[in-house]
Amino acid sequence: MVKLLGVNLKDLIPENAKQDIEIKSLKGYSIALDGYNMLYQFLAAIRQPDGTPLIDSQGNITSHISGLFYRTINLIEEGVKPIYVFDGKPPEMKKREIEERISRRQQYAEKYQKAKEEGRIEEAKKYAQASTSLSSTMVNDAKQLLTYMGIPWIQAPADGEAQAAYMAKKGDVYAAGSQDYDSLLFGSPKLVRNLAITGKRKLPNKEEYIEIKPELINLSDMLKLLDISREQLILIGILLGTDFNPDGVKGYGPKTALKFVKEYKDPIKALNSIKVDWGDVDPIKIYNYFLSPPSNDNYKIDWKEPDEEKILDMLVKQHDFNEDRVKKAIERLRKSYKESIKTKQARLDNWFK
Amino acid sequence: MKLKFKEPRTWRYIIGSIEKIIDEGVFTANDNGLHFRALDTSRIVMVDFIYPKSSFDEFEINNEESIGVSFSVLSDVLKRAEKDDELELITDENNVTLKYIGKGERIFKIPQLSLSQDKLPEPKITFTVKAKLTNNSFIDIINDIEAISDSLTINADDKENKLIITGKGDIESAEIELSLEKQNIIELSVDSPDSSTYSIEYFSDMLMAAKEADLITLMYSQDAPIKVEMEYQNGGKITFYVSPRID
Repeated sequence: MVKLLGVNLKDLIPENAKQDIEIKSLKGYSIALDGYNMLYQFLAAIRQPDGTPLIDSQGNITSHISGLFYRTINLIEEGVKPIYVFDGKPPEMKKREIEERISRRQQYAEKYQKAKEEGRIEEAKKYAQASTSLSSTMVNDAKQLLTYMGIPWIQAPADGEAQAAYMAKKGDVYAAGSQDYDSLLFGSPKLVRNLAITGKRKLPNKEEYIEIKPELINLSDMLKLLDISREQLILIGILLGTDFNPDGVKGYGPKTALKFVKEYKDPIKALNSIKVDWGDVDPIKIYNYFLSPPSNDNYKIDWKEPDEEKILDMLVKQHDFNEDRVKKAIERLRKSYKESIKTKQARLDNWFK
Repeated sequence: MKLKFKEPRTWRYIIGSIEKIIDEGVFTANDNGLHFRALDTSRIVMVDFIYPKSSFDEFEINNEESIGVSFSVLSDVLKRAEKDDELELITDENNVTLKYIGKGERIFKIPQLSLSQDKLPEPKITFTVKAKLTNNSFIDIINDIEAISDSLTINADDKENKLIITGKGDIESAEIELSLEKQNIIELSVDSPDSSTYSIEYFSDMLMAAKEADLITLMYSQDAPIKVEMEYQNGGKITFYVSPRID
């Protein structure tokens, strides 16, 4: 199973459509987190200096469940109400990119082994992170752990981000949470980034750390400031490159893509006017996928009291986590569940109307 | 703009409370005095603050002026106020200069922030319970409840004209009765036996401002925000609105 990179809208988003926020400002809000994206980040980040992930005595990787467990508790402690959304079947269109990515990962995995054997520690870590891949066992571990923690998780019919965006549009959650920008193309009114790892983050290839804060992006502000529609935004995404056409269209960067879509009112006409060889991808299909992706109403958002015994059994007995640390974390989880999830905190907005 | 304060220490305590709730904000100075109103980022608490013109020794402004500041930075400087110091506040385009005049002169400069400000309305609430108490009673209540509980519940009894404030921890609980007979309240009017619960943390944030307050008025109604109004001898007033928790 492979998590793709998503569309890169970073340079397109106007400064006034995004803001760095304190995590506490999300207090009381439910956020649909992209499960694969979160796990993938934990797997990439939670590693020893030479790139070796956390493993238990049986040799199973545990970086993903360690990250999931502690980070989720941190979020709940701040009053955030997390809901994890996991990808379902990848659409047929993504197959080619997924296959390519798997082969690239294998190459990185080989480079990682070699670098490690030869003692090139820093390089090894870089390759290890690039070769990160999620197995279905890891995803199942995560779902199991979330169930024991009392955190709701939802199985998306296809793209997790599409489902998260759907839930945000319906108002069932406040925002979608992911590192990728695809949720915006899928129409999520709000996207929160940097939720998997906040605090200090090491800059790649440097001995420098920067402070990372959650970033809140507002879709309607963004569209208004760019003076485009969501349809036009999808078109920009296709020009810059999505998981379905990772290379995008040659010659288009954020600025030129924006200029181009503004020349056309009808995005389909705009797509048809681009005379390039699309190969085996159909841009109209990609466009329609982003516009109305598979999503469903078949979900329940329900937080429960954590099941201490089951968490201990899974993390301590099966995966050799430190018992004291896990117990303390469960205590924090229980307390925050009581304080910020079970009780509903009203906001003053209700009295401004 | 040039403002001269009679009581910089009162300021220090007020800003000390605001700092805990709000990161940065804009003061407006006009003919009425110095005013500030903002919500915390989670939109649970609103702070409204007014220092009338009469509570300053000097109040020189051009029409209406605003000052954008980081409260933690302002608070750091105000902590340097010493007893009997006078405080002069002067603004220019980029900076706010705070000058303490006591034994000699000490000058601090902090940057002005250019911040956009939303005009916030006053929350619309019909209060059914109103109580007036001294700052010390208020501080004692908050400290008692905070010691054992993360929330505070107020129940009003309209028959016996009293307030019962409770807090519940995992195993422990606290109950404080406020009534005119018990002499821990100055005024009380109860129109309806309403009850409401609030997160204690915001009350803890108010404790600094309560230190120098003269009188504190609490107003609330069933499952509605509570309004906590603190008045100061020099005419200044800070008001906190805290949204309820609904179980």
